[in-house]
Parts: sequence; structure tokens; C-alpha cells
Amino acid sequence: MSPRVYILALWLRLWHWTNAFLIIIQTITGLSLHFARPGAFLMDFSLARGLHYFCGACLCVTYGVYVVGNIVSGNWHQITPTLKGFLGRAAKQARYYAYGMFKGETDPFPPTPEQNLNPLEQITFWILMYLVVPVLLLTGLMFMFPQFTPDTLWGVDGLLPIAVAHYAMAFIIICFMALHVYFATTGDTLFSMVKMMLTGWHEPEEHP
Amino acid sequence: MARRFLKTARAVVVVAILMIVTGIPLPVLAQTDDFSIGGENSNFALKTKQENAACLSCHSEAGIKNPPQQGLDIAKLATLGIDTGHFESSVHGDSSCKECHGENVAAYPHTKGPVKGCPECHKGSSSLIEPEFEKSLHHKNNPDTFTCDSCHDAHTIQKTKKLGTLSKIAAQDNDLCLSCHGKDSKYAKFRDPQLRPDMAMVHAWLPRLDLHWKLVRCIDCHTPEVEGAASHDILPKDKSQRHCVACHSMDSSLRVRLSGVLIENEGAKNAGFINAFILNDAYVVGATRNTKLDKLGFILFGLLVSSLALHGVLRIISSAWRKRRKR
Repeated sequence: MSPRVYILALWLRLWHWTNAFLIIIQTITGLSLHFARPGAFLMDFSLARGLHYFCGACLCVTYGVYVVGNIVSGNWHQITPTLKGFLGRAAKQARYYAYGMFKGETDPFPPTPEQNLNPLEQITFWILMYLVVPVLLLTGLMFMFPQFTPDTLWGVDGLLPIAVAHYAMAFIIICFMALHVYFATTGDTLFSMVKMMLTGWHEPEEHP
Repeated sequence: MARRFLKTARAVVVVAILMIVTGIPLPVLAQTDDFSIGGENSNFALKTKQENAACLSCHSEAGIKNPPQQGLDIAKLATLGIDTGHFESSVHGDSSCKECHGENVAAYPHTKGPVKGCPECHKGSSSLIEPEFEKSLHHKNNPDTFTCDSCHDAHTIQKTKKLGTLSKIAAQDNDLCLSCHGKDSKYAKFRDPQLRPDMAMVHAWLPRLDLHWKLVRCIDCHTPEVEGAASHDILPKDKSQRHCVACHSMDSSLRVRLSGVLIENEGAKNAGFINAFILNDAYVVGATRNTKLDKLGFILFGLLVSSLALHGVLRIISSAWRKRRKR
């Protein structure tokens, strides 16, 4: 058995769990606002609105922490895929998820201090953190400060395209959460990756 | 034959010249006028406008500045001026002043006479409005002094439908309320102005107060929901609407309250948006969502979760199968 290795820095783990908590609150409150109905859908409209605004503002702060932390710590390279040979590496990882995993093969890209994400995780996280989340936060801020949105766009109220973009990005993130939670169970054991995200240590164990 | 034709032609020309000179219409053209839409109304409107111009020569901003005759009580006249621009586009803009103010105002100096009450013309709507008004807080607190014109200025009010946008409708309607509830001077006619609550303070619980006041009418929360026409039953504050979801939901109260007032945005409606009539002016969270996008979202998310569940089941089965093979 390989020795355990320290992979995830404290700031990154704190950011991850804070972010996870805020995103879960945003999902519950966002759904409550979008599907609002008399008698409340999940949560009372007024409470959901207050929480959604507060946690949205917190998410803007945590996103800033993430970007600055990435630059300062050099963690940015972990989620930036190397273009050379990327498709081949991504295909290898996809084959593992679709076939090798059922055959009991080992993960082709196990987490290491130099590269703790596999190619599919890298491209997903990069798109999410540098495209989806910024659009989600920007459109959310436009909801908070509607005075900065145009009065009308394409013959409808200016907030409508903003709302649709916010909705679409939120949908992508909800889908990502489902994927993320499921793939968190695909480590050496069912909870080894969750444990790694809590302690920072990767403890290789024999694949069941 | 030729002489007969010339005689007829000469008669036609003479008649035509006489018509042009005297202004008497040709019988054929007169008959056309009878069938023309608004022919009579146009003449009526012109006559009304001329009559009203005589009144407005004094009772207007210009008239007050430069009275057409000497010896007028300018201080009194200044309180009786009319905003001519608003009057002409108002619901009564094509009515003669005399219709409401009576013949006693036709000549100067005017003699005192009764001014026609609103129900005398608005019979149909009055039968609906009066029972509502009698239940209202306004009537209960001021049974003798509160009348239609306490709120509605007959010289400026415009048809809600004609205004076309939520912001214009809210601006006109809310101005009526704020003319008392926003100013001590008019409020004092009915109640001690010391008791007038600060509007921003009593509505501080309402998020985005600026947007709500810009796009929602006071009566949308302060009257019971009535289809098509605004209710005149002004409710006390404890019975007024405080539930956000009354408007911010699929079955938004705004749909009922503004039915027939705003035009449906057909493009947005066909694209799947509910309550699309609001979308011309505002995106209202909960009320203007897109049901087609929601369905697509549910299907895609359902497929994703099903695929992950299938993957998980296959992992369990393959793991058990491998363990059995090891043994």
C-alpha cells in the first residue's frame, strides 16, 4: 500500500465546504423563489429571498477568495488542463468510468500533490469556476442592483435575459452537484475522497 | 342631344360653384358623410373643443398668466386652473366643460349651479363601485366628505388601458393615493396630518420598495382582488396583502387584477413564459417563469440522476461479482 500524501491545503478545504454549504442554501432558496406558490414551495418566499441575497453576497466573497487563493498558492494550475494530449487523457479517464471501474481497474489518474484532479475533473472545474460561476454571480448581482440592467432587451423587460441566464447557470450547477456528490464516492473506498476533502490527506487503499 | 348634354353639364357646374361658395355640401357627398365613421363625432369634437377653448382661455396656466379680460379675481382663478395638456389626453378630454359644470358656466360672470356627479354619466360602473366604496375605509372614516373627486381628478385621469405599461399605470394610480398619503395639505381635509404615517417607514418590510412603488399599484395590495376593474374597497392595513406569493407565483394576483388592461406578450407566451403580459414591463420572480424550460430542466436532471443511479447499481453488481470470483 502506498504511503498517505497531503494533497489539499486547509484554505482550499475551508473554501470547498463553505462553498458547498452556500450552494446548497442557494439551491433550496432559489427553487423556493422560482417555484413560489401560496403555502410555500420548500421555504417561505420572504425568508428565501433574504437568504438568497445574503448567501449570494457571501458566494461573491468566497469566489474572490478562491481566485486570489489560486493565484497566491499556485493552485490555479490544478484546474487548468494542459492542452497537449488532453483529449487522449480525457478519453482514458472516460473509459475508466464507463468500463474499467466495473472491471476493477485502478484509476488512471489517482490524486497526487502535483495533480490532484483527473483530466475530466479539470475541464469540468475549469468551465465551472471560470465560466459558469462568474456568469451566475454577475447575473445574481444584476438582480440585486437592477438599476444597472437595461430597461428593455429585445422587446421585453431587461431583467428577463438576465433571469434566464441566471436560471441556466444555476441548472448547470445543480447538475454538477449531483455529478460531484456521486463521483465523490468513486475513490478507493466509498468515502475515501470525502475523507480527503475533510483532512487533506490522500490515503490509498486497496480498491474493493 | 349635344345641347341637352351641355345644359346638364352647365347646371352641374353652376350647382358645384354654388356649393363651394356657400359651403352647402353636395347631396351625394353629404350622404357619404352620414356613413363615414366619426363624421358626426368629428364635428361634435370640433364644437366641443371650441367651447372648451373659451373656458380654458381663463382656466389654464396661460389664462391665469394672461387673462383675456380685465377685472378677474386672479387669486381665485389661480385655484381653478386646469392642466390643459393632461385634460386633452384625459378620459374626459373630448367632453364639453358644460356637460359636468352645467349651462351656468357658459356665460361670464358665472352663476353658481350644481356640478354633475360622476354616477350621472357612469351609471353602469357606479352600480359596481358604490357597494365597494361603501365598504371602504375611506367611506367609513369620512362618510360625508369623501367623494369620487377626493381621489379622481376628472380633468386629468386617463383610461388605464390607454396607458399601456405597468409603470405608467402605477404612476397614475399611486399619484392619486400619494396626493393625500404623501402630503399633509390634502390629508388634513380628512384627518389630522399629525396622524399621517410616513409611507416609506410603514412599507419598510417590503423588499425593493423603489421597484414595487414604480411597478405595482397601491390598490394591488390595499383592495380585494377583483377581475378586470380595480376595486374601490380600500382595506385597512391589517387586511391588506402582505403575502409575497399573492403576486410572486404562477397564479399571480396581477393576472386577475390587470386582466384586460395589459396586452399579452405573444412572443414570450409562445416561448413558454407564464403571465407573459407582465414581461413587457417587468420580470417578476415566481410569476413569469418559463414552464417549457422548467420541464426541460426536470427531464435533463431526471436523466442525469437516473444515469448516475444506473452507474452506481452497475458498480455494486460488478464489485460483488468480482468478490465472488476472487473467492
